[in-house]
Amino acid sequence: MHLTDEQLLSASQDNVSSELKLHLSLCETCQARARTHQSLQEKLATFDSLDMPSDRWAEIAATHQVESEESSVVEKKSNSKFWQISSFALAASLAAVLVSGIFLESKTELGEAINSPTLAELIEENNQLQKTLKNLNESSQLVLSASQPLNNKLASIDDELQRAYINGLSKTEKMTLWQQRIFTIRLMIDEQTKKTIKTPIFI
Amino acid sequence: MNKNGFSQELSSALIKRAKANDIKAFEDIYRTYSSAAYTLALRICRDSMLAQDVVQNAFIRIMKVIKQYRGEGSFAGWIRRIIVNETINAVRQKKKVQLVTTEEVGELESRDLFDDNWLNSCRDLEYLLAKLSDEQRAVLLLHELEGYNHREIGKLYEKSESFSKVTLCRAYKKLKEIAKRQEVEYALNR
Repeated sequence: MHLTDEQLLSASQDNVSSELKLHLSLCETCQARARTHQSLQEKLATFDSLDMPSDRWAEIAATHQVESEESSVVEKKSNSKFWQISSFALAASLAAVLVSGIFLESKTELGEAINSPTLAELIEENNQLQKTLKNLNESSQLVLSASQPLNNKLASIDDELQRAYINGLSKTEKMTLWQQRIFTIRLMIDEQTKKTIKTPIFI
Repeated sequence: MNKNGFSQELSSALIKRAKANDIKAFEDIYRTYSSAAYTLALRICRDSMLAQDVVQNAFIRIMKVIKQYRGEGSFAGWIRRIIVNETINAVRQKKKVQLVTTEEVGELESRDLFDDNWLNSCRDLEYLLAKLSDEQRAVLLLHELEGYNHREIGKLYEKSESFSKVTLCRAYKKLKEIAKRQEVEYALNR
């Protein structure tokens, strides 16, 4: 009895039984079928490589940077207890760095290093507000989406933020944008809250 | 000879820099493998936009988990696995995977798929592959070109090895039918 197609298709794999291998080495019909299968495989491998139609690197880099900053917030939170205890030690070592100037080459760099936790906090605050807004939308039985101008404003801030990360703008510039985002989401939350209160409840 | 696609190798120094979160190193990795990744994803899902999204998401994931790459096996192979996983997940989210019933396992007993080289006269392989279902095409490419075995494919789909075996046989059967039909039509039109 000749090999089934399934057995033939598995013949190239490591876990093939010795009986199957023996049959294949002795049976000319199955050898011919195996050769046909191999030539089909070769034909399938003749595909050309295609170029990616759009360059997605900018989006990938921006998303990665935002995610990295978000994860640093989580890390910071989990370390917060430690820092509360050792804040004196931190202040002392920071002072040592300031005096010696060993690690930081310029004043700008020092400014950014000190500001970086604030940027992380701003992102965290954004996330919290975004969740509040989402909960407000979900808790409402009616569709009460924020007004178009605010939605547009948020979208344009998001675009600017993305560009800021892609173009590697300074932390101060990024922080300004994150603050604008917080302000806009707060406006949206206010607007949603007012709408929810005004909407009569039908029982 | 210039290497291309996933056969390109990157230096361990570059991978080390990427592990240290060097964005330029990540960009080099993306530029090296994005086209190969796109080609692989597109072959499986047949949807250019979906394939581009898959590549984007896969590289974001690669950047996130690169520290988990311990140098066991090639780096390109590691990337390739992530691309395959992302593509299968994307396709599964788009469509429900068809279940293989036990009656269909009988298809494994066939012995006529490789009686003759029916693909020799094929004029448009892309056309033939487009006629397969998403699962058939994916299993065919993963098993026959990417070197996955049935157990690994079954695992990707959270199914048994039989799912992969039946789907592969069925993919070949369908390809053969269409190729034969194409051959007849071509002969009649000559």
